Amino acid sequence: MTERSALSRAKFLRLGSRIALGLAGILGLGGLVRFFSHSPETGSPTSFHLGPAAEFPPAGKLTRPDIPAVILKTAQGFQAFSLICTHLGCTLEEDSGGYSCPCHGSVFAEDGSVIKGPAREDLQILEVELTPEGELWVHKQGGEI
Amino acid sequence: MPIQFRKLILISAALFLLGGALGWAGPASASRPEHPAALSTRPSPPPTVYPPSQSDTGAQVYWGMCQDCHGDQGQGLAAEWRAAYAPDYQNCWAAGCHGEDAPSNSFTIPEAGAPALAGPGALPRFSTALELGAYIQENMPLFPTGSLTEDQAWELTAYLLSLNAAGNPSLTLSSTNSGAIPVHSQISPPESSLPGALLLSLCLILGAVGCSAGKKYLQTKTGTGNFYLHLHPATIPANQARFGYTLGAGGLAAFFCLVLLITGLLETYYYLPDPGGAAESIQTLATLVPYGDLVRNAHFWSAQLLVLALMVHLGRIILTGAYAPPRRFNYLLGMTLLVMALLLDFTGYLLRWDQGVRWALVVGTNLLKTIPGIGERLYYFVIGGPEPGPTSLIRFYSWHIYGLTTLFAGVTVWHIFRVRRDGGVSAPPAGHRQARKRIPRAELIRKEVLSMLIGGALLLLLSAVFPAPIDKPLAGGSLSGDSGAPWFFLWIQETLKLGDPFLWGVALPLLVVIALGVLPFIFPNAKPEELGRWLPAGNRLGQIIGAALIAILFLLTLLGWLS
Repeated sequence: MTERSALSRAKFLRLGSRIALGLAGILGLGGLVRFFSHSPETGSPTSFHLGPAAEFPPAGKLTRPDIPAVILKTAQGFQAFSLICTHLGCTLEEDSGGYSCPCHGSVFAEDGSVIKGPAREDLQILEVELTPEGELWVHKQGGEI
Repeated sequence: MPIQFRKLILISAALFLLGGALGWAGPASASRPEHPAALSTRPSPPPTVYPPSQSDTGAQVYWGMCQDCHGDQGQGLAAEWRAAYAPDYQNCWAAGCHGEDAPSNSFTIPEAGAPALAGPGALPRFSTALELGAYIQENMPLFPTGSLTEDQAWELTAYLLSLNAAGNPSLTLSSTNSGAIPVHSQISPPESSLPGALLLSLCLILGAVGCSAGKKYLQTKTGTGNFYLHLHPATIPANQARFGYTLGAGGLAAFFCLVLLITGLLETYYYLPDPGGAAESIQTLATLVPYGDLVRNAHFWSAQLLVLALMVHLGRIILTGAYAPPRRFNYLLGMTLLVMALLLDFTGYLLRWDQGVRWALVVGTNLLKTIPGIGERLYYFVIGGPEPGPTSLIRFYSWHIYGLTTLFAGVTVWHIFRVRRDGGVSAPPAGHRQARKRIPRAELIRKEVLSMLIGGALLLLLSAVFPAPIDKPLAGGSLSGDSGAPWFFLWIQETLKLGDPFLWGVALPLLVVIALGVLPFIFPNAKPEELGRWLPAGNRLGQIIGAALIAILFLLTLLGWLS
């Protein structure tokens, strides 16, 4: 009788401490995951001023390495696409009549469509805004590589 | 009833006539309204809210001091806001009040006018609330410049952030968190880490209760395949395993080292060892990172408690004569660890790179220069240049997280290994023991785990309630800031007041360490049969000298604390 109750008490205590310490471990791990979940605000701008539309280069093409993007003036209006390779995010270089990636050799046509892999997608189209005052802006969404 | 009605009409008519007369007389008599009536219709003050948030109070301050120039909506001295002024005053410069030849009781408004403070593109040169708050306090209002209190500057900053829908209204801006708060974007601070800390310490306490109540059952378990078990001797004398003999100080110190290692590792994921961002990154860790405050506070408190635990450990070793051969060498290893722990505490303290460490940095490094012969070179070696700067911070960082830590870890392992090699906790030789009882290693481990659980729970509670200090970044010019040494060097600060800095600031502390270190080598030691208890007669002289030295350190620290 005494032995049995002692044994069950032993089991209870061992189980109880294990549950408490296991819970502590899980809590600690959860806290650790949350600790690493913090992401600081990105300070990089998403909108870029291009200047007055009237002063757009007569050739109809403007390259801005700081965005990086190329802006085209076409019959339909202004059009812009990003100069970031859709493969793994290197910045493209201007080539004869197109853009090539220095990292893995993807090639894009002048209109941003992919000609040669390993990239599979066309260059990302960026939004161009023409304000009522005639100023040109280009906007990119955050988050792209 | 009719009489009252007639009376009312009469009064109204009289008032109407009076008002008309005044209105007609107005323009003729008052050609120049007095300031601040230059505003033809002053906007009504912002509503009083109770209890006011920081930005509510800021709105009141803004209404009283800032809006005349910056506009009631923060639109700046633009045409729209100037239109609110009486016609004669719409050009602040031409009106004669704020031009180049402003009267002595007025001031000149820069030609560009007062900038807009709200809306897109406002406040372009500030990225954190800290920069904005510091700018406001130093430069605003233009007349008289610098007349704002620090509180008012933070209130205005909070108001401007709310005008720009930035920051977060739940955060009260101060010099301890504003470096983490952006001016141009909204943030969502994490929920308080208090509930998590309480829950975790509750689990630890429950575990401790189980560990304590299960004494009888847990002892019977004797494994050998486990490495942690292997680190412990099979049995140790029961008398010397008592808390009353060891005070648990050495074990506690090891526990704090473990906590420091883990929390310190976590801190490196957010800390930025750069003078332009160190304090801000700590503010980010403490304000915005989930449980970041808890991690930092636990690191801070274990570092403080480690120094205390080591001092208690040293005192115990001296007062029980435990440093008698064969433990003399391990005593020296322990002294080395104590010195390294102080250096680790000091370098870690400097990593804050905030206003609080300014004088400790200056005094601590200049002390090196006073060492004859090698001083100048040592200074360059530690600081990395002719004066404290970016290279110094990266050097302190490197010493703190690699150099000293690696050495410290190595010597700690050596120290613990020597404890085993020297026969465990000091005890009389087998033939001289009155009590022959020994406890198995399972019981020893149970005691260790129990102390760690209790220690961990208390440390968590301490860290959840008392935050570690952090202040404004240590920026160039300003000479404000704490003039005190960190508490563990207050005793040196006190002796430095006595005279020659080399003698009192370098030689004396070195002498104290040497004096403590040579105790087992030049004074009589306790006899083997005297070991294992407090205050043996054998090393009385060593006890007196050691206790006196520690007491003097304690008194000097207390003196420094009080002054």
